[in-house]
Amino acid sequence: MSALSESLRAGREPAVQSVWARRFGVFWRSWETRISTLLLLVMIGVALVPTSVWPDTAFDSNLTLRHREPGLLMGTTDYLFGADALGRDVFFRILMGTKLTLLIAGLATLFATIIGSAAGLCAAYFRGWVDMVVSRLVDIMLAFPILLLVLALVAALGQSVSSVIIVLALSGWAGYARVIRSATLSLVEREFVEAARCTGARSGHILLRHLLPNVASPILVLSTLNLASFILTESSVSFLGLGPQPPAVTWGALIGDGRNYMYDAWWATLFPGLAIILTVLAFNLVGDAMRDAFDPHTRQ
Amino acid sequence: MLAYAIRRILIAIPTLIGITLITFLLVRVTGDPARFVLGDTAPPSAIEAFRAEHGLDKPLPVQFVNYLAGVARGDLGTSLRYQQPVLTLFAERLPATIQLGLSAYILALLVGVSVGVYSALRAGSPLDKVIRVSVLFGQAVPGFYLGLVLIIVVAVGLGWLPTGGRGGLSHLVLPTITLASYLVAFSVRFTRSVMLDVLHHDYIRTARAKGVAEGAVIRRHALRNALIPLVTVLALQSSVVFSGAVVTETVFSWPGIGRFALQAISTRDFPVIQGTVLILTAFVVLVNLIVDLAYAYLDPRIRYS
Repeated sequence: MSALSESLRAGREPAVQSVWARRFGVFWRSWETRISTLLLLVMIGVALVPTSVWPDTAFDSNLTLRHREPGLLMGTTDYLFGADALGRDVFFRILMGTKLTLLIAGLATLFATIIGSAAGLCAAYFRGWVDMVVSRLVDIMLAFPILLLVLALVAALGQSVSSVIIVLALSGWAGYARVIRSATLSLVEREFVEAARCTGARSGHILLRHLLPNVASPILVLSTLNLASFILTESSVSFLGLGPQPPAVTWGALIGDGRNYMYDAWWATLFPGLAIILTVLAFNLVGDAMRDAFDPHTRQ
Repeated sequence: MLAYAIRRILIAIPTLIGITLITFLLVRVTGDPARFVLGDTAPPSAIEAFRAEHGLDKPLPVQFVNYLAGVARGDLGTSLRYQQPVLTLFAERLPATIQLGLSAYILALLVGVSVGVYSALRAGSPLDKVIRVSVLFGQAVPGFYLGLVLIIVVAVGLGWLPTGGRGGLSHLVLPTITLASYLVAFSVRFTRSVMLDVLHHDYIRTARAKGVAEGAVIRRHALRNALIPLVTVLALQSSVVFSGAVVTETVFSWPGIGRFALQAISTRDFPVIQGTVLILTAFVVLVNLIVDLAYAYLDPRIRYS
């Protein structure tokens, strides 16, 4: 208010800031968010590198280099994070694992978002038995110990990349459905929905063109936080040996491999875990910052 | 209150039946349990015999009714690996998991309340910043990874505690920290935000204005109002604790339900998979129901909303 009256007094046009500029201002204000965003961009860049580009030392076993100590400790850059039980370069294996780790979490999040948002929107819009069925299903899904459900389903469907993605999506949609349902419930009563109905808009049109854009911000925030939790779940599944099978590489699987030799070569276990922690942390920080940015009550 | 309780209990019944249906379908829709157990190379006669022995040759609805009837009688089938009733095997391993789970909860409450309250009272101080960063890390560390790091550093490196197995109190320390890491971070964060909220209420100012000592204001007025929501949200995390138990018990060779369930999944012991998932999930539903009812009893506003 004071900025407005000040500029009026000075005879200037009041500076009009777009909603998105304000949101970005809130989002970008803390250095944690900036570092996290940059880190995630670098990660995505690494994930996009074709597998053939990585040096042979990441794939080929070389038993003369078995459990070679990290170059980091010896002040050299070769084998920066050491070598694993087969003499493979841990540093490049972590970089290689970025692709599958992010791909699984990303696609599973995409599918969970689509299923969960559709279920939540429909439950709130149609009410009645649709709401009844969706709400009971959400109750049921949220009661399952997710990791146990995921492990059992992956074991049954086969330990492949696609089955991990499907199982994560099937087990993770309920959280979205619950949030999107309650966000939509308050919108359905608003005038613009009634106005759309009066002009003869079909349900599908109202759902996609009027309601969906209004719940886009919680969907975006949830998806970001969900990426973090899917990375954690997938890494647990892979660590326990029920994830995609070699030569597929994810960070969780690297820790699972390293675990058997962790007394002799701790580096093969330690470094992949740091990759998981940093990535999950970055997604959580970016998600929190997005939540603040979309919240109209946050002061800039 | 009674009407609310009855409504809540009625809602829980279809949820429980739905859970039974999903666990039932879990091992059937995704493939033939006979092939699953015997492998692709098994002769057709062996497959037929297996199906007949486990009632898998009957139509699915009949199988489900039989399964439901069994569950109602407390019969969850027989383990393929141990040749013993699933319920017996489950009961044998239950105390270990309860011990671990309760210790994790106690740790989460103690650390959550003390650190959370401190952090709220000194909001913005350097130590508060350290606490908030630790909370962020606590929520980002995979449980199995923390467990492995603790084994390498504390058990092997320093030699202070055993690396695994169940025994005296010393065996309990590292698994408890591992299982509780998420809960502790969660409850510190939660207590901090609830306390920050509570401290701005008028009754706190009134208490201070009438000369109540600061310690008593915190303990008797503020904390008491922050504790109920904390206990509630912690109780609602029981399904997360069971997921954590699978990983923690495996890393520390802790002889509980989580490790048992993972072994069943790895060895395709489908009656055990079905039974453990069913009991644990039903337990979560019941805990959530009890929490809801207790909360409604303590806070009358809930019943009318």
